[in-house]
Amino acid sequence: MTSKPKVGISLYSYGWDIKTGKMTVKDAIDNAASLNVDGVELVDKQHIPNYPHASVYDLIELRDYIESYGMKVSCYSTYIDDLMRTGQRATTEECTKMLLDDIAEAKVLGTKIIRPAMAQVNIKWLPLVKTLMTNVLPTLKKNDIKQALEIHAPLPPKALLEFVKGMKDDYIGLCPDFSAWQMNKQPGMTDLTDNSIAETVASFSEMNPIELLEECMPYTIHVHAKAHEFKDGKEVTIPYDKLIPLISKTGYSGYISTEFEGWMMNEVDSREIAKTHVELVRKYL
Amino acid sequence: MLPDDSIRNVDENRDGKIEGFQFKLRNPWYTSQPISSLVKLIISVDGEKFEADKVSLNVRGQEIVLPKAYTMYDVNWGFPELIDVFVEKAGGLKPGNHELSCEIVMRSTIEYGLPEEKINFPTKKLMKVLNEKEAKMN
Repeated sequence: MTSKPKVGISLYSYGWDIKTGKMTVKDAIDNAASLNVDGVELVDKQHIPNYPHASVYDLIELRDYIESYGMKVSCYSTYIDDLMRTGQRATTEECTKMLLDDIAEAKVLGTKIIRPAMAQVNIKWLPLVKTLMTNVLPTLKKNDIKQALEIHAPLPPKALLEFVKGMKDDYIGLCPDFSAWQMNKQPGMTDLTDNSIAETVASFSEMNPIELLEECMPYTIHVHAKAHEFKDGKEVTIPYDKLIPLISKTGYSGYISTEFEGWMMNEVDSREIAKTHVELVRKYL
Repeated sequence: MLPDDSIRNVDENRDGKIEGFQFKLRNPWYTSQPISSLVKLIISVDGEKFEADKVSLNVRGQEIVLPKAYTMYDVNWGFPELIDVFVEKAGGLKPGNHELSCEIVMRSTIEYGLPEEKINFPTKKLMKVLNEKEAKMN
């Protein structure tokens, strides 16, 4: 029997309503559960109370609330904030500590995948990423948690694929984000007051060949189904009709986690968006 | 970013003298951020700008003078979280409507490749300054 991907929702998708206080994190979990998904993804800087000083009790409460619906925490998405200080980057030791803390929190949350954001836009940071991953690898193994390196525009998928292959360890994998296969410019970007930012983000829209995703799949441990805007049930910038069937046919059995980002530009109804997004993924599975 | 429609004059020492005014501000970033990621916060009312040392942020009861906030990386502005912004102005603002302008510049704490990793969040809103009686009723 061939295995199918699991469908999950990243609570990142509810960003607008959480940011404006219209929904709580638990409201978002309730809504995800109502869409009958297998898991929810948490983002440390959005969903963990009192971040960055997470309390073990808060983490347990979140985990139990999610699991009470028969769902799991599909992935714990974190950030290695190396520019926290003004004018001075964090040291390697500090970054390692952040990563170890994230792994400990992931363990309490009961997830098997962690996605720490680092080297998001420039492959010049990959040697540092390698050092950090090597530093925490024994901890990952001991706790049976895998670390995903995200393939996110504008980083070249090929470079990250080669990097993960070079790590030669099952506990280090990839998390392709659909932004790398985005066809059109992100709607709303032209509304930004700062043209240089709009140009930077527009340059992310160079689409990579779909075959590159197929090459990445054997090393893929989590998928971010990024979306910016829906029209008539379709995502206007990303070819879901090609990407989802491709992932499905490879026998990948991890999560496809819907991640709606259009809320940064526009006011949206997060519940309606989450429903449309999940239906779109299921349509092509 | 400005969730309320009103500004409150503050008599901090309860001596009958108004020291300044206060309003709520929502974190404009898409995540929780250290206060040190604030690069600039320029507040003006009806075109009158206030110097940074006249502005302080109240983050969960912790009062931080703005120039210190720029380097304070160990206090976070949550997501979502409203903080109180206090502006020192003897006598406060006159009751009635005033245009409040907040020019906020924040920087990313990971590298995204944005110019200087900064994003501007300018906002303006017509706010009503409540007199003491109205403020108490709120």
